[in-house]
Amino acid sequence: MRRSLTISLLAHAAILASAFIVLPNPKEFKVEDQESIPIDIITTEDLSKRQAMVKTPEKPVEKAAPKPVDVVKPLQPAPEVAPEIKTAAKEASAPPEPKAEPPKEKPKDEPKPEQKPDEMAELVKKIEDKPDEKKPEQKEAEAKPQKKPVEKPPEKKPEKKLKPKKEFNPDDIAAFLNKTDDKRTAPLKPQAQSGTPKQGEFNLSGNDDGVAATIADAIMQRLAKCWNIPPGAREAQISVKVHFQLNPNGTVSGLPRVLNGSADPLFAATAQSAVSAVMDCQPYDFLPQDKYELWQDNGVNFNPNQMFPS
Amino acid sequence: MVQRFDFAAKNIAAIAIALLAAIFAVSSARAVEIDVNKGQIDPLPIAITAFVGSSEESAQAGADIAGVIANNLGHSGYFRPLPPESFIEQISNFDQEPRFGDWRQIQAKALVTGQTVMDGGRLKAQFILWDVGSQQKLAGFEFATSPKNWRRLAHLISDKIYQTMTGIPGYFDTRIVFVSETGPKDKRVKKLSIMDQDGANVRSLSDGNQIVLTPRFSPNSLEITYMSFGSGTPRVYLYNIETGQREIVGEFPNMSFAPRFSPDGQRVIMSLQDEGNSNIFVLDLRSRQTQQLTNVPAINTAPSFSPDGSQIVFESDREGTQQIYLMNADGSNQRRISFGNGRYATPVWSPDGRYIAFTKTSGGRFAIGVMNPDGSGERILTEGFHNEGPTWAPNSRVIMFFRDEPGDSGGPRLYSVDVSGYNEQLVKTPSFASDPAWSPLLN
Repeated sequence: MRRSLTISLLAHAAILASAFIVLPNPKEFKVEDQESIPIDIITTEDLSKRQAMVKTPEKPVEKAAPKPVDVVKPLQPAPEVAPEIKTAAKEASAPPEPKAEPPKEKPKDEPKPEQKPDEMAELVKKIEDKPDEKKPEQKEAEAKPQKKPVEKPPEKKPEKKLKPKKEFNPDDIAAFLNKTDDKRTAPLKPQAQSGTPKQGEFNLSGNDDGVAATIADAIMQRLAKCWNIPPGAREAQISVKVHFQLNPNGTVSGLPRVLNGSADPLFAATAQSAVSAVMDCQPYDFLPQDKYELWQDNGVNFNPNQMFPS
Repeated sequence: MVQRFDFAAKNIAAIAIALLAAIFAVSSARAVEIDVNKGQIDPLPIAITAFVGSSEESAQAGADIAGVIANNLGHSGYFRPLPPESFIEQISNFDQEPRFGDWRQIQAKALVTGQTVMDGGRLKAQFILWDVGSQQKLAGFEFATSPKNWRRLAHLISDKIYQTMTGIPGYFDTRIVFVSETGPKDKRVKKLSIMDQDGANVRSLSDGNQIVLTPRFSPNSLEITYMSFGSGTPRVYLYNIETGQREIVGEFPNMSFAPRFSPDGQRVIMSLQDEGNSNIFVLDLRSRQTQQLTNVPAINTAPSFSPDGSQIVFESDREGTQQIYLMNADGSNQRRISFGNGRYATPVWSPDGRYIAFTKTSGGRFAIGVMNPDGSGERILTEGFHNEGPTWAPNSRVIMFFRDEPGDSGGPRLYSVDVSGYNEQLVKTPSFASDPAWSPLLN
């Protein structure tokens, strides 16, 4: 009795433990199996000739500097660099004061120059003692490589703040769909998702084992915040496979490629929303520099339909 | 004995640990592979800039068009048009690429720029839909019409934007036929009226001398069928919106009511009264032949074809209370599909065939709901004192209905609601309004 119990316990423990390791591991993303289909941009021929201007690549600066450390110094000689400061202020304010950060909830009045001085002063105070400061004018390409991806509690907190933002929760489907009790006005319950990593899991500097999975999880969490799921796709059987490459500074190299295809306009809209999400989430500068080889190439399956029961 | 098994157990444990270590090593060697199953379902922030015009007239039209587009997209519930005051960049040249950083800064995910040109007495509108994140053009089109039809340009552009961003066909370039109601409750004047989907361009189609009920659009959108009675017996009529021509459908001794077109527009299905009962008939508009589909001593009414024309859903009280039934288009295989608590009425098949909308009465309250065509998956979209007359937008995403208010001063008004049950909106009409019917897309 006792020995069989022991065996049973050990065997169960082994199975559970191995399942714990194996199951979270995402499926192989088989890039080579997919016919590569570039995104078709729908534009009228009539208009395209009018639009033959040269695209000046956007400075990724606005989005590129979510870290306080990048921003502070130039703030004192501020006045003449107003635009940069505004941007800098917005992003600089994030990490030290997480409440201000959630990417979608930046206060609208930020651009107002009148508010700058105070914000700046505060910011400067807060950030002054931090090491590794950089000028905002610096192109992020120069700025990022030295950044320490280690220990970034500020990255973590904004995430919590985001939760009230009606993130979709599959458990609420019933409430979402049936309104007999007029639940229409009740927002979707912003409750913690079961998959949300614990604080420790975001510490990407730790043990090498499982770092790849943790990186995948971190990118997944980020993309879920940037991805606006087209309404039609929420109930459709659609999956969009996207491949993108990241530069060491966390910016996207070129444009993401959509690897599968369909004539369904719903697919086109979903594919576009996926590409847009990858671009909007830039920069991915929360990933560990010393593990660049693990996040240089990324394959993502966007599956809106898994949010709804079919 | 015990010792031996302890030993065996230790071995198993060691093997298990080795196995785990091996699995762990393999898994950590992989590159990043990600599944994203979550995302945002908030309305998409979109910036719609005033279309650039070279003359005063075209600039005004451009600003008006942008306003109508923003209104359309905002009402859909899938978009959040950003207030123009928040725009950092003012678009003054349509041919110049926007400064995407400025738009990203105000959180716009999509951007619409456009230009309006007066061209030989015609108003031409061009637009481009941009994705701010990837800085790509997602769509660009040009439409032209006479200047007084500028609202249609705005609706057509709205449809293109909506379809591109949502993957669902648009529904803005449509009209609503409804019954406008004026005067005191006991002496209402009911006129057949028509308006754009957004409530603009209201005009009357009848003079109000006859009571008009249940107008329904033909699939070709030029004709409607409705029930009307003045001094004589209530009858089903056909009415051509373009020509104003009106005719009675069929020569029947008794009252005919609850008409609806078949999906091909060639037939009208309706109820004919027969003493205390009513049964469902279909009338071929060309041959004028009628065919009886139900023959049950009960009230059988409110028939609606499936979009492929193979089936008909209707209401019947043959088992005691009003319930929803299904039958083949030839009247065979009649079967009940509604089994919930309460009475079910006025079933309407969605244009995409996925749902049947209905009115449900339970505990003295009226609800509008949808169910699958087999009767499963019932869900209530809205409920209250009196909700009635659901009609589908051509894209099957939005349902319009009317809601009556209690009291002498109250009256019916039109509302729309997303098929998910969210985004209920009042549809503004100049007077009280009931019995809406949504047209197919006009183009």
